[in-house]
Amino acid sequence: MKTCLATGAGLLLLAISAGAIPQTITTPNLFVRAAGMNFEDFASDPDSWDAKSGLKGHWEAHGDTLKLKESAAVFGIAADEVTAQQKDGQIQSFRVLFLVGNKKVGGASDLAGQVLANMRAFTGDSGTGVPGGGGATFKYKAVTMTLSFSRTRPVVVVVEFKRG
Amino acid sequence: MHRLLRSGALAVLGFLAMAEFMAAPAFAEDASVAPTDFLTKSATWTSPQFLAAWSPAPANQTRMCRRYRGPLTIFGVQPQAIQGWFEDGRLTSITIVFLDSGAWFGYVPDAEAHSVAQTKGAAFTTLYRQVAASVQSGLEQLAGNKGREVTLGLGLLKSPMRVFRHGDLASRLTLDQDQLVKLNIFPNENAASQLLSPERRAMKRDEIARTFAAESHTLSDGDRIIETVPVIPQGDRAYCGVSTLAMVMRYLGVGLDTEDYAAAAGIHFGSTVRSRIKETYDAAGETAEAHLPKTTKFDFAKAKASIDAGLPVIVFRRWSQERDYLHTAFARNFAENPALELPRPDLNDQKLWPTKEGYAHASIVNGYNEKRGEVIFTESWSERARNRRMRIEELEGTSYLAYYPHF
Repeated sequence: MKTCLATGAGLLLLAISAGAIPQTITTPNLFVRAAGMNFEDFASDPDSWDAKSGLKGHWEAHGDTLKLKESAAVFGIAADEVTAQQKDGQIQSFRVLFLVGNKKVGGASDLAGQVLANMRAFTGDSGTGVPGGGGATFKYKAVTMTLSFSRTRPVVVVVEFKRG
Repeated sequence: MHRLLRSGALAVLGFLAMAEFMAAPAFAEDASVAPTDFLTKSATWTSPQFLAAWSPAPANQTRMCRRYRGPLTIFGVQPQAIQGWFEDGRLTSITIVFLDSGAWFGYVPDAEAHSVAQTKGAAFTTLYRQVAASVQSGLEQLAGNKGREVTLGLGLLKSPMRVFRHGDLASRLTLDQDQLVKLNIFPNENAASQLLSPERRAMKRDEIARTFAAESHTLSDGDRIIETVPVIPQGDRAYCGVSTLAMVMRYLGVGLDTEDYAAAAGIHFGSTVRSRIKETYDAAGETAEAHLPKTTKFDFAKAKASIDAGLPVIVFRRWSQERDYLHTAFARNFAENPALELPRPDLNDQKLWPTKEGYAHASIVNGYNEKRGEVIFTESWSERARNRRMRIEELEGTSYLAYYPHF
């Protein structure tokens, strides 16, 4: 009985104390601080990739692959890795990787569904399915964004941004 | 969107918010109007230079809260915030928040409440004493007396305050021990001694109903909406529940601020642990001389009746950053393309809704579009978070408490 009462009191306190969030509760998104814009806005604008001042944010080179050093929330979801592919010093594409983990919703289909729903909201377009299912493509501004996800472990969801 | 653009560590955000507030002085080039004349001379309130010092007026709004943009030192203290209350472009009162516990501590998660209070509580208590003494002393000098004590509010909101007269203006000083130092400036002593607005006090019950009903409009696209609820940005404080309450209460003519409700609710040292939100809502209803019935889940039929009567609804719901992104992005695109539709609330979509593990959050439902199956809601963040849209089913499925004011 005492245990029940203690548990009940604990739940009551939790319910009462959970009545608020601050105005800016978000996952770490240091790319915004470095770049002054969300990553998806940046990646949708190839003109900003060509900027003489260099890529926004801080990147470390691994051959032709650049890896974003800052944390980034992309389409409102914390990305686990953001890389850029370059050729002859020119950025060709960006690749955003989301790993299914405890911080994300449910299983792979849920995470992919979340990313897909938010890409639709971002573009204002429902996108087109990729052949074979398991993804979608969006034409937005001057880029093509492709969502894909694996069904094998480790389960990942990937969004690629390419010119055209 | 702005909210997400400013994302990052909360401490950094607090700094950014303060930096935004510390913009260039508004009167620097005008020697004819001393910055603190607005405490004693009503003529200052209509001076173009003084009016230019406030944040821009949001479009199409008649009742608004605007922030004073310049740094000011008053009674030796630099206030945390100065807000002006405008009706039809006319400045009607000013709120000066000298020290608010929520703003000083920032958002403190439940798990850190005890340790934060242990490590920083004493410093705040000391600061409170200094600021309270400085403001009280400065005000007494300005008025030439110790003011007059009044007790205002009901229930948890019942609180002693001091009313002063200085020049041809008056003020109400709120000192809430280890919580809040705030001064409200009014055109006259009568207004400073009341919580209900003069308009509300002058109305009979049937006039009240008619007046608020006239605030609800049906637009050509089928939206039924109340557009005159003032937005009061909560800042990086755990204040969504009390800021939404302040917004609705201001709309109903109650001249209390977010910080008053936070103090009454016991949101202490930045934490909502053991706070009394529900009791504070009850007290606000009494103070507004309104009924504030609640349900444990958003009830669209009740909300529709309330909005038709010109009375906005407050909904407590589960919230996630991922889902908020969708609502934010949709609102931005919908403004340009009204043919857009939110995701259908089928089983696939329901899997993406915030669950009980999500954050608790409060929003104002100030409209609906029955044909589109949507509620129109507003956040206590900024004008940019006004009139967002959500499927009715989603709000029903993620809410856990809703208040429907009526007279």
